[in-house]
Amino acid sequence: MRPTTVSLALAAALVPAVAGAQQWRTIESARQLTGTDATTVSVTFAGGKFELAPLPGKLLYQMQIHYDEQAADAVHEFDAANHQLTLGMSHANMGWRALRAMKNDEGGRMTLGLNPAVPMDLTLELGGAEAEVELGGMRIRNLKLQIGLAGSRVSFSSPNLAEMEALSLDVGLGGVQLEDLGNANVAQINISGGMDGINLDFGDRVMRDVKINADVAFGGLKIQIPNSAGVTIKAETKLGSFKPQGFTRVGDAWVTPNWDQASTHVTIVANTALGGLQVDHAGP
Amino acid sequence: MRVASCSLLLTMSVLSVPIAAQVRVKVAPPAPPAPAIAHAQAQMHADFNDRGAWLDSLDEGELKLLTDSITLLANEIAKAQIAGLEAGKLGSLQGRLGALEGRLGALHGRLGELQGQLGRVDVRVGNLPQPRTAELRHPLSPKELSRLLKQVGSDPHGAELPPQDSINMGNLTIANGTALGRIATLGQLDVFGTVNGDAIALNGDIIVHRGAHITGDALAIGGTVRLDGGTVDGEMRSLDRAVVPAAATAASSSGFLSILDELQHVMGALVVMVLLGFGAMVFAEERLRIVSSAIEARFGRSLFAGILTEVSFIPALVLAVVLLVITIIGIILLPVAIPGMFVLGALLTALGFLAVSRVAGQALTRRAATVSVRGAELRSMLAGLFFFFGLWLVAAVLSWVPVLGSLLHALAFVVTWAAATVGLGAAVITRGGGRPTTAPVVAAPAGSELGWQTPTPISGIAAARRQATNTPEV
Repeated sequence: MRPTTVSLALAAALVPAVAGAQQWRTIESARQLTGTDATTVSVTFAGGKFELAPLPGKLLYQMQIHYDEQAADAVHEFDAANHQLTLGMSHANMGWRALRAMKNDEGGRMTLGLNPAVPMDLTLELGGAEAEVELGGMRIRNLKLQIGLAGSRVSFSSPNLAEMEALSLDVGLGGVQLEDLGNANVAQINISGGMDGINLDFGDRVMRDVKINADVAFGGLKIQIPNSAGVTIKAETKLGSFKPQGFTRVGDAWVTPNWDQASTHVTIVANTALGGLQVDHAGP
Repeated sequence: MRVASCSLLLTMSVLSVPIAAQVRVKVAPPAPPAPAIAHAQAQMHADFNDRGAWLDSLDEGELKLLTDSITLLANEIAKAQIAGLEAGKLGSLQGRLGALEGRLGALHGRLGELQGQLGRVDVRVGNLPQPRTAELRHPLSPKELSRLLKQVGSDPHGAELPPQDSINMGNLTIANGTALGRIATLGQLDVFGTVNGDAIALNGDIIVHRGAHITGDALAIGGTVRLDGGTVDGEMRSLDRAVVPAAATAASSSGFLSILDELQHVMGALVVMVLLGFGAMVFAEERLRIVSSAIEARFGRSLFAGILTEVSFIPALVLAVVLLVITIIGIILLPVAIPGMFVLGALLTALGFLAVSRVAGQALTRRAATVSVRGAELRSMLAGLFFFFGLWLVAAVLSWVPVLGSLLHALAFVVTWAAATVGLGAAVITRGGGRPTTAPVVAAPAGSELGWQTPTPISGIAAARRQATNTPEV
């Protein structure tokens, strides 16, 4: 027994120490702006902290990434011919190992600036990263957000300068807060998932008519819309609650009284389960 | 001729010092063309490091003596030429020139010695066209430098470097109007001109000044890339250091790392199960015995119950949620009930797996020396755990073998799943070991050393409660 016990203890002590060795490194990458052609930007990051903000000036982008080199690899590729920019971590590294490594005490982090003069189709795949994303003043044509485990905040503090065709939000276990979404200048918002709640705050105004398709479970969906916009809700809630206040039932839909007079409209088609749907139609 | 030869040698030695030998020397702008004396005067500006001596080689006094000698000699030659070149005096001068050449040869030897000490010599290079002094530090030995270059070359975030002998040692300025190809330097790189290709600075910054143009990438390793009005067509990239990449490491040692990673998980799980086993032996010994008995007596039923439990767990979970949310009390209980179901499932599975391990361990340790009942039970359980986790350990160690590794993993999975399923089923049908599966409890024959060895007749009595043993427990 004793040799076995000693071996077991040694193995338990040494194997994790050896296997868990980390090698952190920091990479900065940037490119000068050579034109304002529409660019497809894909950003992937597994865990830690992620920040994105507009970067006015002469750079197309500027990225700093700090990551565990043993668990992941950084990507900074630009295909000038096809106007495709790929940044962050290798997609193949988006697993538990990278997430575990990037969430430790030292923590991975990525800071990214994108030039607001360039129209972009932007995809953010954030795994377990805690994200702070500011997209105000940029030219986002399409936005796809894939948020995994950690909470994230995305805001449009100033109007999106391009008309956004669609905003797709795929949320896992973490919650997400979208602020001043009315500035996103978006026509359609598609939402799926969400175990920890999804909060869409349109802020003070809605720039154009927008349709929200939501398929949400557990965490619930909360939407705050300024009363300057008309709202229609078609909701199907399973094992959840839906109590729209200030809405009038018209057929199978709930409609705000100002629907006909409002200059912009928000149409919500929601399927929720266990989480409930809450729509606040108030404010300026 | 001798004067000219001396001048040439001296000139070469003076001018080659900063570039080739990296000696700390400050060189003044070239003097007007009065050959011998001018070069000798240039040597007078030789400077030394802060410690007042050359590192590990030439000393200040030696070099100054040489300089003074040459200066004096040059003055005497000039006077002799003016005085009409007396035959004897000229011969004497020629003799002194020969001695001086010998000393110059020795000096060259010292300079060669210095060239092998790049890593320990501070460098101060005088810029002849513009007498600006630059401080360079590159505390790298040739071996370290070679290693760094190798790392940069193999780092996917690095760059392809020029040959080592083409890499500039020290700060480098590419003047305005100058066009170079791919360039790499060990130190700071100031670009005023054009680089057709990549510009790489090792342990230094790259500064792209106004009007400068780099057509490739600008890569600073151990530094940063700064735009000061210039243009970089490619990527501006800064690395904190060059490393042999994980990808390359993975290519060369992915098997080893993945084996370690897997071993870590297996060992961790084994340690957890052993601790749970100790806990079960202390706090739920009777339940463990009952579940073990159920496994022995009703293996098939336990397996069926285990599979049924696994299949019905998710539907049962959903049903439980539905039933809970239709009542107010249920909604209140929901946050507790759902996690509780998971905890209950995990506990039953753990209990069952420990029981299976114990039963399996009995077969493995049947021939072992007799100990107390509890000791035997513990030994059986540990043996069973080591058996099941041993399968995973073997699979992990041999995971690098293409087919065999996969087969062993599949085998380990199937065996573990079967064991866990049987154990879970036994735990379920015994209600977590709270209810014996068979009616009668048959006592082991009196005097039996180990009650668990013969409690169950083949005729079908499922399990028996172990009799108290007379063997003193340890």
